[in-house]
Amino acid sequence: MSGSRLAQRTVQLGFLVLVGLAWQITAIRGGVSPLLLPPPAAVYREFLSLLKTGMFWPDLKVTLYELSVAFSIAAVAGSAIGYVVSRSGYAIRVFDPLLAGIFAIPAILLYPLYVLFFGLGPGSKIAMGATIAFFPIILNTISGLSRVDSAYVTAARSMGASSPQMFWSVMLPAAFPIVLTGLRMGLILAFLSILGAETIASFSGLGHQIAGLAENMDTASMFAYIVFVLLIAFLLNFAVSFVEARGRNEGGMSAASSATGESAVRGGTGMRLHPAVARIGLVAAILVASEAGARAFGDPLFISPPSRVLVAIVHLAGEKDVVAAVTLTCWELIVAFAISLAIGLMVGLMVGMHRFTRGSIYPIILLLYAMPLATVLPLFVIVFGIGAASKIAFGVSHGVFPIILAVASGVQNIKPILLTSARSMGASRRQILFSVVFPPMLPSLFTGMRLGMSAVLLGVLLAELYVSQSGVGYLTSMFTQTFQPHNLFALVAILAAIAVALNELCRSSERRLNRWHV
Amino acid sequence: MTDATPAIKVEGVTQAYGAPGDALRVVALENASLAVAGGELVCLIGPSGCGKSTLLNLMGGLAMPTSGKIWIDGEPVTGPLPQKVAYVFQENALFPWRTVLDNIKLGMEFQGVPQAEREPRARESLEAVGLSDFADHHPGQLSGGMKQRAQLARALGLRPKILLMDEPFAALDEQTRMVLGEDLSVLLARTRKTIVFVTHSLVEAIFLADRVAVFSARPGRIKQIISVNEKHPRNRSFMTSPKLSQLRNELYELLHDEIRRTMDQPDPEATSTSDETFTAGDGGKT
Repeated sequence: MSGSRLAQRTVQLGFLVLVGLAWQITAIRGGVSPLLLPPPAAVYREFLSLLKTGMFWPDLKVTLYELSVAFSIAAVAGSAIGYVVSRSGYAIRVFDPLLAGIFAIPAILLYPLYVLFFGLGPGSKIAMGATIAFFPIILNTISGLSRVDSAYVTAARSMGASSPQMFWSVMLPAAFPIVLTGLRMGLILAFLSILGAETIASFSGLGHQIAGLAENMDTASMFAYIVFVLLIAFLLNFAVSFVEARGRNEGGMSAASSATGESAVRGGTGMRLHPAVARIGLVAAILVASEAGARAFGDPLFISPPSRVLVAIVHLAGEKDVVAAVTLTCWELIVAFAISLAIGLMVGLMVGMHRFTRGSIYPIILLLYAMPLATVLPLFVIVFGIGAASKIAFGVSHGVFPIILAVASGVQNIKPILLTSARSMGASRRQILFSVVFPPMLPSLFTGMRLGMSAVLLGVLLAELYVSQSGVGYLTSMFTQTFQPHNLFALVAILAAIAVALNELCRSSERRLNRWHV
Repeated sequence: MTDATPAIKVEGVTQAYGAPGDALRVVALENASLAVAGGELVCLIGPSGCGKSTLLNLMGGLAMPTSGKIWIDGEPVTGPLPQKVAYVFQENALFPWRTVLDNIKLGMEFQGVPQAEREPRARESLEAVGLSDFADHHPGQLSGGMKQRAQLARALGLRPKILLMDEPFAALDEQTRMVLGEDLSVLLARTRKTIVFVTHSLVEAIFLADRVAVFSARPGRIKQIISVNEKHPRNRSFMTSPKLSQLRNELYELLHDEIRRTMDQPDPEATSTSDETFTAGDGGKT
């Protein structure tokens, strides 16, 4: 055991050394301009001087300020509203699918609009970060509180617990681990989206700094900054997992059972609308309210009533530019997704099936996954140009990780007895792969594909928003800059529809594949 | 002992996990020797962690012994022998995404049976275990007893000479397992398969076995072999006979001290079985 662990560490170290060496050699002898790829030594020098001079402070302060405000807003709003919703089983059934659906829409598309509302300063980043962090927090608050094992609730009630006692001493501790996971996801997503927003359009912040250095072709400094941001990201990750681990210990084992929903919630009976009907009603009410609000108070330069958006959708569908942009984005999306799937499957299988690969490569993959990819977006543009290639590459960099993780965990979850049994019946390597490993992995592959699909969409749109002369992301910034909110909203609605449709397609395939899980 | 060459021959087999000298080294099985004649049913019984299941896995070539040798039909074992040996496991090893019939056909596909033969042979073995009506059910829709019968059908579909059964009825309730035991005895009488059967149940061992090999506590050794001279198929009257009671008591005397000794040891299964994963396909490099 200890011998193989040593070997795994050696592979990890060797991998890093190899990357460093390849980098150094390409930088010095590969004929690559140092403007594109500075040698590691130069980056190291820049990094040291960055730390010594403390030049990073103003930008770091801005980014951390944005992060803390955005996260606080999302945490308070998400957990408070989540708590209110979780009080009623009916409300859960109305809101939960709605929130999950909205979560699948790439919120980054709204960023140009936020810039319009809140300016290029911290305000728009805070709004962006808070919007994106809100959803995982509220979803996990709801699921944590609603899935508390009913045995605890019954026991507490039999001992005469009051409502506050029930909440503070039973519900909250039991739901704590799941709520905490939501907070962690929220914090990380807020950090990533704030960096992304800073990269796309900003006055200040770390993301802005990196984008600026990239534009000035000061790549050695840019790499130094990227390394610095990675360091911050890892520290953040580390701090959060530390807090989470302590929280888990204090909260005992996860007391909330994930199998049965709404067990602790008193199911309200009586005459009520079907949840789906209520959901549609809710959406309709919001649309009507925003129609009235926009007509009465809204500045038509910034916001449009839904009716105008609807007209704009119909109108846009006939515009050649728009159709071309959507087609281009979809094409980039498909290519990026196909590449992500191929790489993800291959690496995921490798990692999942071999214990040694899992021990050595998996930590590196997790490390890469935790990286704030938005900071390396300028690098993608430098390497791949401003055409479709950089969008596809950036989309792949987002989509590949969820697929790898899902495939690897799917493979690891296969019962060992099935492999032993297949082997005893004389199955070949190929037969084991296709008949034993693949079928039970499919549901989690589809989960990974669903997550990968929204990640690819996010990556492609981010790249298009950052620098592009075509595609949907480009059109959104253009509509914003030329004050055509109805067209912007229409485009967002079309994209959202595509995102939700893809999401639902994957989910229904997941469900169908799960049929044999009787 | 009818045949000249025994169906299974085990000689001086030791199986240890961990390197020699390692503090965590566990000797699961020590210097075991046993010969199983063709058409014989031998039960392996002993306290937890005495190496019964280990020996079974070694016999079928799913693992290789640390030292000692094993022959099947006079041929030394070097890897899985799907043409001659089939397993029935305690854990449900049916593929949950395939119907019962497809499970049986997949086994034959693995073994290399031509496609045209698979369907009739699968139906035949379903018939043999009385599951014909459940061919198109998924394993998740079956009761525990049916699942084990389906596993048995899959093993029979491979037409092996030898069946290795690792506590196949352990997860079932006592009434179900008694009935399945009777069925197995009938099957044995009809097909004359060679069977090695691991069990924790004293009654089950006596009821099924021609001979019972009693294991000592870890490190497992074969302590004694008891012969049960009773023809198959056996039925209710044997189950309630004084002969069975007397043999059961004899067996209990032999096992009692060993079980006490085992209960003072740390959990043995935890260290050994978890290592057996993901080196699929190339004949047991575990």
